[in-house]
Amino acid sequence: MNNTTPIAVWSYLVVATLLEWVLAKNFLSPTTIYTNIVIAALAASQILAVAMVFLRLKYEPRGIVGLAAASLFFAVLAVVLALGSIGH
Amino acid sequence: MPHPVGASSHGIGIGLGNGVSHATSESAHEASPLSSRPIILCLGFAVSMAGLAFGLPVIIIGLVILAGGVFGWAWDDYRGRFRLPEEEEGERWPFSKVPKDKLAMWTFLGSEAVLFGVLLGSYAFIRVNFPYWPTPGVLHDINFGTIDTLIVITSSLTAYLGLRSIKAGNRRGLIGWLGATLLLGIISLGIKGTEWYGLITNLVPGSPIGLPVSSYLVTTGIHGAHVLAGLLIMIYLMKRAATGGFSAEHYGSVENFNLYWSFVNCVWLVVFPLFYLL
Repeated sequence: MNNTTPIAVWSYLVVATLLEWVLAKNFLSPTTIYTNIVIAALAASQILAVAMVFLRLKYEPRGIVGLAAASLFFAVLAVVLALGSIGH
Repeated sequence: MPHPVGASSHGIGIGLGNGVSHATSESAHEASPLSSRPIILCLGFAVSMAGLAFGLPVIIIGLVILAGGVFGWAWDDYRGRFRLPEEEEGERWPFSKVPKDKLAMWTFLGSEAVLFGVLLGSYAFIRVNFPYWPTPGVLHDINFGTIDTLIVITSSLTAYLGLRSIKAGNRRGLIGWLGATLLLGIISLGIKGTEWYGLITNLVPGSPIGLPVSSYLVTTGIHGAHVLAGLLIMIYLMKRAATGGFSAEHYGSVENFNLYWSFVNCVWLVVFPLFYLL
């Protein structure tokens, strides 16, 4: 990993968080679905950045990436099953 | 390739679950990395959970057993019991070149992903189907949440810089960065504690915001417990680093802690927008 990469990612995370704060403070209301979408997209990009660099998924062997992907799959499966159970 | 008995330079047991014969000498048996501590830890947890039905004394007994398991495990690690030469046997695709402890950590994080996935999924379900939900900024202070998030992401960086320090052989750097991470973690927990105090003291019984508050307390409570565990691990790592437990060649525990801490911070990056912004 390049020495500056973690600093760059951290800077992006800070900027994205501040952007979320600005959006939430100034443009958020129950009817503004577009603001919600932008905030959700920013949050998703932050999670991806942390997972790739600080969790080092980008630099791990394929087996570990597969393990992480399997975890994600089972998390989604658990959510779907839990929601189905609650729904009944 | 099977190792001959006693071939290890550390004189430790070999052939863990790989079909390779175990060391037979007395010294090798004593230093076996096979540990009963995780079982003791689970037993303590089970007893303390049973205490919810049988009363406080059982909970206390369970917590004592659990603490014994945790500290015993940490003590074994502190003494280097789990430091093993990696075996080629059993390390075939897809996990070739992945140290066993790292593989274990990723498996653990996988189970944690499922736990938080269900938790947040349930929250989403409740929120969508609950007739009243406070708008952002009403129940939670967005400024508080933003400051907490900035602290959390900065702690990810400091934890990583600690890892980079020890990879370069800089033990003081590791202790310094872990100290900074510890401080940031304590501040983050302090912010959450302040919010908890405000929510609990202002909550009126029978209020329609009971469910939103409860879901917040459950989610941030479980996340906070993970942060607290991370703080305790950091104290342990700092102590171990201070006594020369890590070097440029041996930093597996620091790397695994980094993975854990980054994962916990990743979860916060989901919690923050869900509870504070959307």
